[in-house]
Amino acid sequence: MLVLDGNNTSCSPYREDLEGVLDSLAKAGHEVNILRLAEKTVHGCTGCFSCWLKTPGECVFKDDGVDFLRRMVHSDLVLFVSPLVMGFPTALLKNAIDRFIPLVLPFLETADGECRHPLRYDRIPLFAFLYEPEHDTDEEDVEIVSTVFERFARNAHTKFLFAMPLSSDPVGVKHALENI
Amino acid sequence: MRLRIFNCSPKGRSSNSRVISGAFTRGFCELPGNEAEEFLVAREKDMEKGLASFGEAGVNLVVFPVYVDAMPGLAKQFIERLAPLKGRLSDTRLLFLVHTGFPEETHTRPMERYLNKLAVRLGANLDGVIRLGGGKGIKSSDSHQKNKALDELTCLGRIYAVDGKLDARIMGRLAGPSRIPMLIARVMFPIVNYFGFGRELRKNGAWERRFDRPL
Repeated sequence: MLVLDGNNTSCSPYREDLEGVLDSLAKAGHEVNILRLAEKTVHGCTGCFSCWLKTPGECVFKDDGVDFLRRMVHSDLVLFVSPLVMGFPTALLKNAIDRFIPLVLPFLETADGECRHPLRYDRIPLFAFLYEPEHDTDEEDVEIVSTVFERFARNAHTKFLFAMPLSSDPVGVKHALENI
Repeated sequence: MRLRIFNCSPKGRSSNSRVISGAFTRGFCELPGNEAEEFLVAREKDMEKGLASFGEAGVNLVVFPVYVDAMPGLAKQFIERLAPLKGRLSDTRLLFLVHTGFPEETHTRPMERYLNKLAVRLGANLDGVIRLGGGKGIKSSDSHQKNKALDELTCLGRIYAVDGKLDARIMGRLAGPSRIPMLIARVMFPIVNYFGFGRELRKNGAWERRFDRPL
């Protein structure tokens, strides 16, 4: 399991909540790799498409983004974790997600009457999202973010399992993760 | 009226976003007295200048391509930096322009919903979210369909300058269909894959490595 932490603040409840989740995952026997993006260098995608058309499968940026993709390809599940900022995961996390492009091929195919790109690798891990709400987060925000992750999963040929708040129901989070 | 364009594409000056927003701007500026100013958010200096003027009177047009089903990280960074302006945008009108290479409108729909909610969060006067499907390579293509989309955007900008409203029929055509006919996909995709992407791969000497798995 790869945990991709998009937290960009030193807010302590978030850290404590995440540590609790990581502990429970380890106790449940999951092999957990955590990547704290704030401590890494992941250059934003510039849309050059070299990873499709010049050096297939390889990004021009030789930074920690390569490590993230390698770990992702060899995981069964990616747990995206982030505070919501302006109703969405942080720019830090989104920058990392944007580096996903080399995992698909440039070519076009359809699924259910909609375009997408075929996979470069045999499979992509399942996705789940844990978030720390903002003071004004409401159900609509969670629906919007969940829809975006569902679309991401659909276009990545995988499944999005759930979006859950990190702090309000630690037992529920633990239960959901232990039963993946 | 002043139109400020916030180009949030990581490609900045060479972006499709620039060509697409440029077409809208052309129509908007046909009305005497209207003028436009562009900020390339990929350049830190422009980002700072743009943020400083975001709350001034006029129309703010925020444009970005869809990267992995949402806004690019750079656009999200820009949005995060708008947070201090919450509730201070009563003099400005807001427009968003979101584009994707895929033809179906389903690829831009979640962002439309997010941007509608963002405008509420900011307390801004939102005039609409323009969605463009099938926009890949629009800057370098001379195909009839892509030129038509740019003409439609110019027309949309022209009408908006006069009425302050976005024409719903043009918006629908720009957004694209919900599904593409299977027959079109079966005929067109092998051609696009072999002669479009394939030509680029061969030109770069990468055709034989197109399925490489370096990870």
